[in-house]
Amino acid sequence: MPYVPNTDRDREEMLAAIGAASVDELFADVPNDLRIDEAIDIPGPLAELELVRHMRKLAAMNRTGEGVISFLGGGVYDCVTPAAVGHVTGMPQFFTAYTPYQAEASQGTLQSIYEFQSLVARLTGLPAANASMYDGASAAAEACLMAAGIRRRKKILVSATTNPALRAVTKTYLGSSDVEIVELPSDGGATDLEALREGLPGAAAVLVQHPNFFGLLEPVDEIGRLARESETLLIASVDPVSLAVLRPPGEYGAEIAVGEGQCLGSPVGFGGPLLGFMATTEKHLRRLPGRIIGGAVDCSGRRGYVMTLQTREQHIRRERATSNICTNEGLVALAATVYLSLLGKEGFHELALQLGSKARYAADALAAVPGVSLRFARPFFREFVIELPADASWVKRELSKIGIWPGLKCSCYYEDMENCLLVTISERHTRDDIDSLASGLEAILSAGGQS
Amino acid sequence: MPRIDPAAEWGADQLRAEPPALPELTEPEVVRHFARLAERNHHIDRAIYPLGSCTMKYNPRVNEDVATLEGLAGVHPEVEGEYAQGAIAMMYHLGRFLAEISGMDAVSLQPPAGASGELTGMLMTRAYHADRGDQRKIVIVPDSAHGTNPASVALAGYRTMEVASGPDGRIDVDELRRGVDGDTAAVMITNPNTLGVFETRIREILDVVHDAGALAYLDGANLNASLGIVRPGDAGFDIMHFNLHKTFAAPHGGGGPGSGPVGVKAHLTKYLPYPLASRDESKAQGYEYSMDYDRPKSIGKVHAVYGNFLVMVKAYAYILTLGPEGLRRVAENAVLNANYLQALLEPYYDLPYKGYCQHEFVLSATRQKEEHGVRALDVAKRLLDYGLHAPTVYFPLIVKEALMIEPTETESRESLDRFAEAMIAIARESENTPALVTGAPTSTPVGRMDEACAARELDVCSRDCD
Amino acid sequence: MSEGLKYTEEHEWLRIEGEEATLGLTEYAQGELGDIVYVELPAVGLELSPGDVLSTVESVKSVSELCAPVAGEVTEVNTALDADPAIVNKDAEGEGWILKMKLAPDADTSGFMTSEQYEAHTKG
Repeated sequence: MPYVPNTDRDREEMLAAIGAASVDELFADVPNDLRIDEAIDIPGPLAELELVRHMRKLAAMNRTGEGVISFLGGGVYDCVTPAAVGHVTGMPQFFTAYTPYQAEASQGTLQSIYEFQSLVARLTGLPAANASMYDGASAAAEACLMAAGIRRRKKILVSATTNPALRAVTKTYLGSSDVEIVELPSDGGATDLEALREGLPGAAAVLVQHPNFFGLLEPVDEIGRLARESETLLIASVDPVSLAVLRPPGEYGAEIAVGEGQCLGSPVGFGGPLLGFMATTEKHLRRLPGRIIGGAVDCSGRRGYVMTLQTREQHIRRERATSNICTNEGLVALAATVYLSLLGKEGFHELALQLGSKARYAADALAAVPGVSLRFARPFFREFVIELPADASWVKRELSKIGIWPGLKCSCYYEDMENCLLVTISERHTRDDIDSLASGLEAILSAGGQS
Repeated sequence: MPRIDPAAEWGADQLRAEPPALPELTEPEVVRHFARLAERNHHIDRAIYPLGSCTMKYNPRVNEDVATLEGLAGVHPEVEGEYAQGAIAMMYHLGRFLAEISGMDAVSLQPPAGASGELTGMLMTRAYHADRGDQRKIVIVPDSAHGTNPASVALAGYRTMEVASGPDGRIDVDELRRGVDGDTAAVMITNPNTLGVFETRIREILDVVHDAGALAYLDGANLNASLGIVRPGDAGFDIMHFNLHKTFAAPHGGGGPGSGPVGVKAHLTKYLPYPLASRDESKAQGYEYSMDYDRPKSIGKVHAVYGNFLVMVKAYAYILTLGPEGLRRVAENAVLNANYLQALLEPYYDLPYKGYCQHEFVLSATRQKEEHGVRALDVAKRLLDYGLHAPTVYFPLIVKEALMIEPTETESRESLDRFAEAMIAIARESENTPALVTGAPTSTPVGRMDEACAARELDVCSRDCD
Repeated sequence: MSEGLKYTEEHEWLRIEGEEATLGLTEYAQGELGDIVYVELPAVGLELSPGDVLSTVESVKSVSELCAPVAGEVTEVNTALDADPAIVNKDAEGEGWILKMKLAPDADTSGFMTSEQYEAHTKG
């Protein structure tokens, strides 16, 4: 029997030691009328070879890998990951360990999370990070709840230029609280500052994304200044790779930074697992949700690490905990830690410059296609929006026939952005890849024939 | 491709003065660093990891392998459905398997962890009552429940009412009857509960809940004991969550990622998070499987995308490997192993709740504490010196000096014997050389940490290369 | 335990001097909590009704909430506890005081326990 070492003889001897006549007797507390008498109706068992064949067949029903040039992004990014990342996260000492409840036997996990927190702190310019959240969306939602608690105010401003998924999850999390979400409209692709000014009085927090969902840089200094004036907390949702070059949230007055860390060394994986990160000032450290690892010394003065400030958490404070989160994204956080350690200061900076350079090249190449234009005039980081002279769905369909996924259809999320595509650049893209997109697009548009 | 000038491209005022201070190391240095850290961890491949209610079972390696297939790990979530048929099909069928295993009607795989599943369940409870124009305020939770239960209840805007367990460790049905009324939105039950006992009167309990118009929620943390034996849906539960990283052998990863699907009965299907993997055998759209966003009564999204897909892949592979008979053997052997350990240890530690247990049992070190000054924490720390992991300690809260032990079915009899021998040796040490136990561990990379000092003088981020 | 102090069932002590009361956690309660790592202090000027949470005292693995035993206004808090919460362990009923309050005119100061009664209460 797979994965069950007991032999029939073991079972007999164990039953004798227990004093039970049969395994069935051990289930005597389960009422008879609830016992299943027929086998449940699921397939299997499969031998390992059969399973692998089946999984390969499923995998082959998805179109990925060689032969596809993808410009899909919008929060989940296809990053190039050094081979060593998978080898480290594949060490059983890491992936088969539980939450580090016994510190003395979990120093490896504890120290690696402490290093993750330290890296998040350096990226964001905020000194207190937690051990991870489910994804950037739930991190933003929890940040809103945290801010409402700190400010004791009942209104949260959320910019319409934040990722729609982030807004959807925030709405779910706040839906049953007495905190009201007010959406700020966009102006030229960035948060409308006039609407911000009007909304700020009485707001606990304003949530902006930088670079935003359209890839554009937000006027974060101005937003930070306005927020401070009304004692509103600025929550910045950031792309961690952008922080290699862009100013950290701690510098423009954000008191909480959150973001999606999947792009730090983890696969796109049909959208999960992702990696939420969250950092704040020392002042608000005790309000953070989730686990926090702290440095400590042992009884004989040796340096080590422990889970600290546990009184915030559900297993102690129960209904008054700062959050219900328990299981988090530990192994994905480890992948990010290894990834950032391998790229290093220079490599990470180079990555951001490459993304910016390729995005600029791609934007120019696409804007040169007759009829195609850039939707917004603001600076962008790794993705940008183009406006097509034709139906975006039709363009996507036509390009997919030659193995190109040109981007994300904006009208799925923004009604007024018909014929717009969000085009995302990956470090994987070559000049040929980008040229293929531009020439493919030009060919399709000039051939016309759409309905 | 031409290089951009960052100041010209992004604006000088948007740029940071210095790139962030990341380590500057070569690959061999990085790998050695993490390999050294790895040596400082206990893990399930090394020895038993008997944390109660955590279901630390062996993680089959083929599941890890298939989750790295390019055709699964490399699928972008924004790809058109027709190019992700394998991924959506896997989700659809995993949902059906879980529904069949649990006796529920529909399953959403979106919650990325158990606590997220609980929140999802509570939000659906709200939506259900709101639809009936009913503003209920209270969720009842037994005093033996996991801390996530009351925390999730609070996050969903409800108040928790705790009911005391009866002398046999089960829900006191009379007490419950007194607590439940027209203001009760739901009752959250863990079955088998955290003491490892099955709620024998579960039908009666659920009748009390339903008669008051409330919903019955099952915390599926302990589902390992029930696979192929009993189905929560048959007992009458309306909502439940699964922990794929416990029951279905996906690894815990030192804290995550997990996956906490939610199952419901038909009358609640419409409230499940959107989108939901669905199937159209007629292929009206030209393909069979799609993500259904058209769910107007849905509580919304609880994850940025579809949930922890690659964790689902591992659970799916596990279920197919075992099949119906294999899953039943999991439950049988998990329960057998727990009862065997309980029988071996009962003479040496207090066993507050007697009788056969399910997948786990709770001992108390009260005797050791009162007679020799050795606490449950000391027993736990001493186990580390034997190269074994400790049980969950001081939980459930209703047992003093609790040692909550869940061996799982993947431990061999030899491994159980080794654990029992260590526990018995520690009971003897507590009598004869208690200082050895209270001073443990001594063989681990560090000794007992000064947690009070760590909490007073907080150090949550390294400053050495700022 | 100290002479002249009043005690509550929630393990708080009070020293009432005219309109002013000093309040803290009892010696017994600090022993039960263990190493205290954090004391959350209220804002000066906060108006309290009986039962309002005025402070939380945390050890490594537990949290204890202190509720106002009488109505009044917070006039001073022991800021020394911010830097060194362990003072409560060392001298709970002296240097480890938590706050001072001005009693409301109608504050009900009857019904507290004497030190002997409190001692009997903790042993019961």
